[in-house]
Amino acid sequence: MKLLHFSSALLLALCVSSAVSAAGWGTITGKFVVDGKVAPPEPLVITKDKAVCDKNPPLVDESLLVGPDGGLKNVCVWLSLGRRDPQPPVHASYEATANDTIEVDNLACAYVPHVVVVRPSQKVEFKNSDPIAHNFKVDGFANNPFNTLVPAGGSFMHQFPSEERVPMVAACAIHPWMTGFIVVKEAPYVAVSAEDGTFTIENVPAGDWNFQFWHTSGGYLSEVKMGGKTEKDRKGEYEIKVEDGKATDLGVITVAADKLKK
Amino acid sequence: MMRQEITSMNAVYSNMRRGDWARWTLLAIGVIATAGCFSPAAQFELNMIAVHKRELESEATFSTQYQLQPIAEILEASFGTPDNPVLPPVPGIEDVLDLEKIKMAAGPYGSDENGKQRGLYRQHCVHCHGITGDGAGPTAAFLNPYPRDYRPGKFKFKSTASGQEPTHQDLNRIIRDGAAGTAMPSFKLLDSDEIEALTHYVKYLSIRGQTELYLIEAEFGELLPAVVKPASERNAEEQEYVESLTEEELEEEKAEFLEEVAFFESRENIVEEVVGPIVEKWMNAGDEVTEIAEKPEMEMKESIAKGRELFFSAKTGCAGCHGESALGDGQTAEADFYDDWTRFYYDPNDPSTLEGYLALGALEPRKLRPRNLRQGVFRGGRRPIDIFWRIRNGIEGAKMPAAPPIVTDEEIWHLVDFVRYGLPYDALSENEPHQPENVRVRN
Repeated sequence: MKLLHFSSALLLALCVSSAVSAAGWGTITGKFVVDGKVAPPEPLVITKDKAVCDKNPPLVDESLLVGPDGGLKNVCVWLSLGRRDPQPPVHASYEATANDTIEVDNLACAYVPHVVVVRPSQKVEFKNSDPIAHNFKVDGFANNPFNTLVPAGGSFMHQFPSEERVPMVAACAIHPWMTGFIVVKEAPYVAVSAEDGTFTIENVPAGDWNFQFWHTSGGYLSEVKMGGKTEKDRKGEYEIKVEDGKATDLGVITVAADKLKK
Repeated sequence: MMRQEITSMNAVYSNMRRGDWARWTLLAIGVIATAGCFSPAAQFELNMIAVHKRELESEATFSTQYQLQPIAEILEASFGTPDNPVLPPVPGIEDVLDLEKIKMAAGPYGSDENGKQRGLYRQHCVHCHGITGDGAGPTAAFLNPYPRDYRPGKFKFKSTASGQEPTHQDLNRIIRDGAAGTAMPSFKLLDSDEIEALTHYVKYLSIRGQTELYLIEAEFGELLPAVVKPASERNAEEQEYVESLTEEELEEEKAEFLEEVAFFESRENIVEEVVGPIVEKWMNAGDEVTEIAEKPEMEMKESIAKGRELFFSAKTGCAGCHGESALGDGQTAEADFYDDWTRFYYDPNDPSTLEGYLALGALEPRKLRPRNLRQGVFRGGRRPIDIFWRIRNGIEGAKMPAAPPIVTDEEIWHLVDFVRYGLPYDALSENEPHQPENVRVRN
């Protein structure tokens, strides 16, 4: 049965690669901005290893970070497929990074980066640059969960073989205030908004696609204002048209502050 | 509603006062007798906690007709009932589940014509673990720790790594030996084929529960039933959503929805997409047993000294939770220190949803405690190999992490020696237990 799956995956991969450059490629850009007032992030309660973790400025709750001009950090944007849809063609520019190792570090008792994007073909190096032990407890749905200790200065490699519907959560049992997210998606058309709320996804196959907007504060962004129009979708799924050789600029995507939990 | 009930009770009371005692007594006896003789057959209950969780996530309610009923029907067709278990037609399932053994454990308690015990699960297990294996039987709330909920298929004390199913032997052992320091007793006095029967039955309930969870979380739970529900069953958001659709979009979504539901009316699809992969993991568990290098020959004193050094090092971080004096008092965090079974419905950072889960029978959240290693009580067994497995693989569902690969097997053996022989034995050294957090009082 496994063999059968493998061969059908291979077949699919062949079909996909033959479909490459079928209709051309375009780029998607945009900027997430919060409309309304958001309280500044709260400092975390550090209960142990204070010498390493209790810093000035203190560690804060990273679930909702808003820049000076309202830019919303850590919105994840990914191409969303129906459950039995085939994977989209993958542009050649993504092949070079297909076997990369993505790094997640423990730095002064926080995960750096807070949100990481990885493909099943890539590996993740879970690192610990702190002088104390940490552990990564990672729970998802499609992948086996694990909970492994990383010694001071140590690291270990892990590969997530399956795509996850929503980001996996990483947590540290020794320092329970630590949280991080791991986005595992087969198709490489994923971005995480930067500090100023901007994001770019390059070389997306031309066509009409659904993209999902998901934020670390409370999941799917079920209501946004794009191009002056309010759009709603419970699963944060929005249609985006990509044209060959063009940049689709979604402009400012506004999220009402009261729609963000916390 | 309440008032109505009171009024009708008053009516009953005044009727009785009119002196028709005999008739009422007769009626009462009649009711009790009828209920006693025709008590309904035991039934598996739907995992409403998982349903509720999915509903909160998707801000929609499950449709009885298109989601809850199909899930229950699929489960019954695949696994039967508590009195009459069947197995889904997954190739090779007989290597994992023995239907004859399962039948020995299933059904009401009694014995067959040969004097052989039947209904072993209901005789020995059900009061704690529940008919459905949800770990919420009638006595569950009074036990600490709570009985295991089999339905997520996660077990703590096993020879395989986190994320792998336990082996048949792992489950068999815990039924035979019990779990020290918990309410789980040893069933050594049962015949070995009875323990075998119970082991198969626990696996059966697990696989059934995992199937159910998958259907709720990943398959039916992914669907938004607003478009197929009658207006009277929609909540405000669903109503708003349906109104935002054009006639054409509505029809399209309806068709898509029904197509998804129809997909699982096919037994083949269920076996291939849902039950098959679950059974396969159980099938492979035997190959996943963690391999261990043999314990090196070494003077015990020396081994303990090495183990002590490791215990307090940043290489293992043991003392971080188990404490500087190994009393299990190293982790004082008030925030998230709950096991995965609790975390499934309880988010300590957002306790507002707890009430809804408790109303569905979820047990009051209780904090985990890192083990006090000075009492010599180890739930997963106190043989060196048991403690080795705990350190190497961590404890799934709890907070205990797996040792990193750079900690060698030899080093773990030293830790085992230190934990077993290097600490003062002190039954009175019990630390102040964490009180269960009373969330409602705190907020």
